Amino acid sequence: MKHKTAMTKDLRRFKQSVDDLLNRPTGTEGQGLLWGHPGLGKTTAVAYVCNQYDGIFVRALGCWTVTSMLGDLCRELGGHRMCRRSDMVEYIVGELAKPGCAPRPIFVDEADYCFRKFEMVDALRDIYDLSRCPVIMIGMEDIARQIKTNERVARRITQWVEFEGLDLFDTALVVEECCEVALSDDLLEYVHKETGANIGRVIIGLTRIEKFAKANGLTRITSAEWGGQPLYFDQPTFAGKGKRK
Amino acid sequence: MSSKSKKATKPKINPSHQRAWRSMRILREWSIPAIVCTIEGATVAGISKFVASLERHGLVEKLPGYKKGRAGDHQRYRIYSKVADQPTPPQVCHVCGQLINARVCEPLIKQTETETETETERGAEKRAATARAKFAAMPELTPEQLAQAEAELYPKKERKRDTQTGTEPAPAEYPSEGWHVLPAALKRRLGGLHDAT
Repeated sequence: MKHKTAMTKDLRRFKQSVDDLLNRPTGTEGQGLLWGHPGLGKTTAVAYVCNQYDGIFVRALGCWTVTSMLGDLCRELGGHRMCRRSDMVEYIVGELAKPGCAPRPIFVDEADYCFRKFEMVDALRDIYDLSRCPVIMIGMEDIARQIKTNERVARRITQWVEFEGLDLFDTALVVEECCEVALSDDLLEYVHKETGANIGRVIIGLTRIEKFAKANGLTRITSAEWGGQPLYFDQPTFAGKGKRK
Repeated sequence: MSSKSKKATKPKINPSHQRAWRSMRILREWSIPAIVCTIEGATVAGISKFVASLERHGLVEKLPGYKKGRAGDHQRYRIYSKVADQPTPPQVCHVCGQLINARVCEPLIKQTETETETETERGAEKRAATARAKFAAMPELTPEQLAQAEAELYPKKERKRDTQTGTEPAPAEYPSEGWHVLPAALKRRLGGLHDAT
């Protein structure tokens, strides 16, 4: 297997939205939202984009306050937590808006916690208003629904990106980019169906197929050659207490 | 050949190491291929080398549950929790005090250095105490003896010969230095002498 990042639709949309936020016109809100089910490659995509744009990554905690959020941002920028919030905001803005430096996006993981207190969202707004660096919030599948109900917060988010998983075209792209053997169309469809659009499972399945093909001296493998072998190692299923004899 | 003075400078952070460190912090539990995928242009060999150096100095730890030979499965790692908050990769090992790319992490290197420093400090203190006892016991002191006492009590502040002119600097007017640490008896005698001059 080749260790590369395939430009799937989800990743392309996410990258485009970060790019749009970085080059947004004056007066436009600079907040984005990324959400999706677990296992669709959100974190890997965030790490990839964060490295590309030299972003700042912080993870929200359930016990976060505005002070702790600003303290974490200060630490990420090479500073220290300070006593006053205004001092920390000044420091963050000063570091982000240094002359000659390109704007750096701020990624906030587990952003569901931030929406519990509007003060945190307001502080983030101050930061992106003053520094022109966008803020991208990352959350679980329910975050978008929660935000939509709150007009005040929803109005500020200008980029909404949902990770939907791999479609058949994306699966073919992953095979082309990462797999060292070619797959027939029927096997490609089988892989896509069996893995349920989960990128992690697709990679494991492709690794197994590639190993099998290389062991048998094949450069192209079909569904008939692969047979009904399992594609990935899933979690074991246990019978319930009542079913045990 | 011109001899250039070598100054100890802070080592620069390798940009690819910085990106790898960032990915490690974002992913929390990761494998080497996972890190490679998040960095454009990174190679497995380069990242493996960096991870090996971090592991050698105890900054990352291997996670259990890895079985060799399973397709698509790789050894997983985690950053040691005490350094996981750092936004930049550590440059110096906290155990051996060497740079992270050092091939051996030997805690004794740091320990030996500390012991040597302590020994030197202890020796200086001992010499000063002996000199104090010797000069406090003497009934009367001449100005030469007083100068000798000063030199023995403060061996670190030796008068250095001027390298350009070759002359010694003028002796400091007594008691300008270290007056507060002299024994009380010696202080009284010196006080009288100082007043007389």
